[in-house]
Amino acid sequence: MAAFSTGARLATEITHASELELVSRAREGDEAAFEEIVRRYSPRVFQIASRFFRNRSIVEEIAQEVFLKAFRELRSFEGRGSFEGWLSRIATNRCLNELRSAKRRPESPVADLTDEQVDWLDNHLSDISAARHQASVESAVAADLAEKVLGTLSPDDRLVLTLLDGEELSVKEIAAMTGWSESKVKVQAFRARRRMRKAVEELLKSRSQGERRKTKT
Amino acid sequence: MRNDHITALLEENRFGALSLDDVSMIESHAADCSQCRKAYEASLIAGDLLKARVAETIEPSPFFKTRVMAALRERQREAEMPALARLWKAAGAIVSLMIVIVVILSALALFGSSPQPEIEAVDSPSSLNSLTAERVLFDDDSQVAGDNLTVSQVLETIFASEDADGSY
Repeated sequence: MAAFSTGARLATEITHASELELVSRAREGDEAAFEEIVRRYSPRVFQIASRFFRNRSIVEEIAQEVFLKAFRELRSFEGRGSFEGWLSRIATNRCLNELRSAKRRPESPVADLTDEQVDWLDNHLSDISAARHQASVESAVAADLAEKVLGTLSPDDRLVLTLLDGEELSVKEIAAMTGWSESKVKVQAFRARRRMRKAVEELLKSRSQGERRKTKT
Repeated sequence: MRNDHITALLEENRFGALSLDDVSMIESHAADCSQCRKAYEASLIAGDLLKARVAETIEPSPFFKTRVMAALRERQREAEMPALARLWKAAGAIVSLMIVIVVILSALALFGSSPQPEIEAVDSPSSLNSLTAERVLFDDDSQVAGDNLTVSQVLETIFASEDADGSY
């Protein structure tokens, strides 16, 4: 009974421990403290990884590697910034490396548009000047289409657009997450927007060509 | 005609995050310029696609923490293992296979070879004279001719030697 209450007290202590306390205990080899780190920060690591990968097993694999690397390098965390920021940087770099080592990107985003994707583009274009519906923006069709377009961009372009324009992080936050300078983030974003816009223009062109073919037949 | 100022505006600002003034300026220009209209439409769609993509999030499963801790313990065990044990873990299969192959080859060498049959002296015409079939056929030495063998003796020698070693 006494052991149980001691265990429960320790568990409560760990749950309420500050970030720095947890890190310091984990450094000393306290497994429970590291377990609490994993529990506390895994949603953030998953969030970052799922911005770039849609397959659950890949996301889990990346998240696991991120935590294992974090554990190995706990001593290098100096506590000047937040632990979450430090962990986010590891996660972002891990995702970037994974994107870079992934197989070659397809040449064009326009191939194999599904009927749902063409419909989504049609509806969206007809609705472009009016207030657009959030529900349709969040649809799986749009996410598929986004993946198709983003898949044609370089890993760096994809990263900066996803974080800056998609997640609306600041240039400073992205610079901290990637280790890039702020001016690099801005220049990369400027170029990436042009490339993404052109990819979407291609997509729209192929959609209208497809429609013309459909009408002829 | 394409207005570079508009495309620059689209690229400098986040997708779909233009000020109202910029939007009205772009829209009034885009009404008469199909290229800029297409670029503007594409940038709006790009913004919506990015929003749709980041709205998709995968949550950690309830077992994720357990999985990470198990992987961590496994890595720690591996790190604590002596160097020889780690080497054995990495190359153990190959070394074992090599040992098995060596044992099998040794066993075959020891027990697999049958004893050489003893060659009995065959009382054949070839043993009676010093001329082997090969010597009769290929030796140009005049000694053969000098032996004054008849054709039938030569043939008998050849066939007798073939029968004896059975190699033909």
